[in-house]
Amino acid sequence: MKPEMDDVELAQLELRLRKSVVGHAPAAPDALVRFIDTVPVTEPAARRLSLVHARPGVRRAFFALAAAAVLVVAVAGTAALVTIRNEQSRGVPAAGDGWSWQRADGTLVSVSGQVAHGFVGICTSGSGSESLCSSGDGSTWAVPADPAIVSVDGPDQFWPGLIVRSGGVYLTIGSTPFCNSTGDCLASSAATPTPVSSRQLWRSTDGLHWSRIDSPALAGLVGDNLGMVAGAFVALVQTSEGTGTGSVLTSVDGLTWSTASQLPVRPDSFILEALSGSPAVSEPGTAGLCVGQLPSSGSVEWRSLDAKTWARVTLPPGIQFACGGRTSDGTYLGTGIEGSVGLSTVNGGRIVRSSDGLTWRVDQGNLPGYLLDMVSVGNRLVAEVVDSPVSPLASTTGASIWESADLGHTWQPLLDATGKQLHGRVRHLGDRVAFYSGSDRLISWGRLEWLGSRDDTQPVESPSATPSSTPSASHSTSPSRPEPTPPVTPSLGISQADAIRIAAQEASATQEEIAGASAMVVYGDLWWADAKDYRWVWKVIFTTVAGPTSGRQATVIIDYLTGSVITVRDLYA
Amino acid sequence: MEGHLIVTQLDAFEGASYQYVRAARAEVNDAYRLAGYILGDATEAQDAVQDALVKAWRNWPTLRDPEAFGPWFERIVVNVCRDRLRRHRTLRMVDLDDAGEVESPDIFGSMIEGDEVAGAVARLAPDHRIVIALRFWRDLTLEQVAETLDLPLGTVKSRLHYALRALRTDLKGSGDEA
Repeated sequence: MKPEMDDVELAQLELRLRKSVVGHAPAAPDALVRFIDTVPVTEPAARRLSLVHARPGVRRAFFALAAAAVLVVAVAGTAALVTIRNEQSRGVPAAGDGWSWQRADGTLVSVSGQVAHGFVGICTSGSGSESLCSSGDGSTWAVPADPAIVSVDGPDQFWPGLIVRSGGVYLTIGSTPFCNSTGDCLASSAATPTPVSSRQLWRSTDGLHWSRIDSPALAGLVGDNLGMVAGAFVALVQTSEGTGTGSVLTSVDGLTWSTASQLPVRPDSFILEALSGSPAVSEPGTAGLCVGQLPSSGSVEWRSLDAKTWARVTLPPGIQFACGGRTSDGTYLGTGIEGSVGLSTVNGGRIVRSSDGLTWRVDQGNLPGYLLDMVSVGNRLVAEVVDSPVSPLASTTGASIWESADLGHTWQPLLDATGKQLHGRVRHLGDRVAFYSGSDRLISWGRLEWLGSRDDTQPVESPSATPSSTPSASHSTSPSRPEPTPPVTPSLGISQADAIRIAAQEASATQEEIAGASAMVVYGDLWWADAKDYRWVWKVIFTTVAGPTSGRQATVIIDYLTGSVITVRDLYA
Repeated sequence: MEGHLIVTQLDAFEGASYQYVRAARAEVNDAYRLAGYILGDATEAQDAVQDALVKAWRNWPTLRDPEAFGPWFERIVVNVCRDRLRRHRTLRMVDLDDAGEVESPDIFGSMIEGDEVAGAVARLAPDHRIVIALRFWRDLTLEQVAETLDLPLGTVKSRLHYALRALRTDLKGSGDEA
């Protein structure tokens, strides 16, 4: 029997234990700190909504598609799509049928909107941090933003949301970015949403110089909720973060705001989203303001055309929210969000139609699957569609791109130059459609690869000047690439099964190891590969404990988009 | 330009993710050190904290009070570390390329190799190693250790007693005359 320790011996041992850790208290590696920001984006939480998993891209996409759905498009005949079968051109949008495509620089950019002399957005750098950026033509983006395109008055950081314009007045609701100690920032719309209390209204009367508007009436701005109703700017506020009641504020000039009505829904636990509309919209005033409440007992929705009076919306079965405007044929076209009650699950978007804008039915013609986004350009609607309900990593096929020339009654695949259907993401960019690669729903925006325009598009507002930054004054976030080389990055991410298969081959894993493999998608710089490069990767781990004194752990890092093996780390004990 | 506004119910996620990121950032240094002390390897510690961060987010809805994130997250970290220790049978993995070398390049490895006591702790059974790390390296009270491990206070005291006794035996066996 071992003798017990006496108090002195115990005290000495405890002292030695405490001393042994002195000088060994490192801070967490930067990669680990940055990893935190990616977790809410990449990992599902127990009660998170399927839709929310894809934050912010999908959620924003839903609201974007809702806005886009009110667009009026001129009916045009469906012409045959030109298919140029050329494997070298895979992923390159096909020219023809009225389409022309301009190569963009591949920047990771979330575009806030068009301003007087170009475009403003939030660009993500190779290190993962985000910055205000600008572009004169929408294809080449510069960080820092060109002062000839966006100039900020005062010391506050300008981090714009969607930009709304009425006449000569531009407005946007900005937010405070989430920045770490090294100055790397993430936009509030990314993995680290800014609380509502830190949102601010910004105004410009020339589309160039922006100044912050401080008004007690604007306290409690929620989300990017800014739009136009009945010829006035509209913003939503709530009395305090997450609680209280909500109000609708209106303003003609963006300076003076007054309460138009109380929201007919409680704002607590609700995201309040606003859309600024688009250059091609439904007949003015026909979409109005739509607000919804989705309690567990069932969804409730109201619409207002004047921001003052409200009418109840009747939703079709399975649709939790629908909104849209009147089109040229006198009917209403909108988008609905399909999901279970309370949006505990969200399947995706559906095209809905109505004769009065209040009673909706689902009717999306031959369009398969679920909408993630829809935009218009020229006489076409362009939709981003997934073939199965939206769910985390549910699809490795990405979103397919469809177009319609008859108000969404019939749809055709939008093809690339090889005749294959394009996959990716689409957004409005002025009078053009922005086509993003990296279409999987883990990536909020992806890289801006192409700008598409239609020959029948009437330019909405060509930038009066397109002052591009000189190399010495600023740098583009990624170098321009010559046309017509196809995109380097495919739009699809590889599946978990493929990742494990590739990793197993690379690591010569046994069947037992394969069966017990763990695989997860992470976004971060590749600290494990001695490369400072942010990207999405599969991290596949094979572990074997062969006995009390032996074992193996092989970690294989695979590029999520390309499937190429980045590094293999084989550990033995 | 015309537009419209939409109000839908999704804000809970925004609030949750913001709170999560803020809370996790506040705790990640302590978590990394604790994992490093328990696992004795910087890479393992980093992987463990990554796993813990993911688990914490997935279980975020079960955390009623976000202010209590620290102890809650620490418990997750400890559980992840325990799983790793048991899986690896307390053996430290060595890079195949460096198999011929025994030096550890990371700060936790050098702590174990450079300090006899820390080295002895690394040879303890996982549960003993954890209780030592929490009590003396994380500097928690016995009550806090019990809370973190979700164990009765008496069990913690007993476990600590046996851990210290095993340590002493190890140190004496290696010629130490502490």
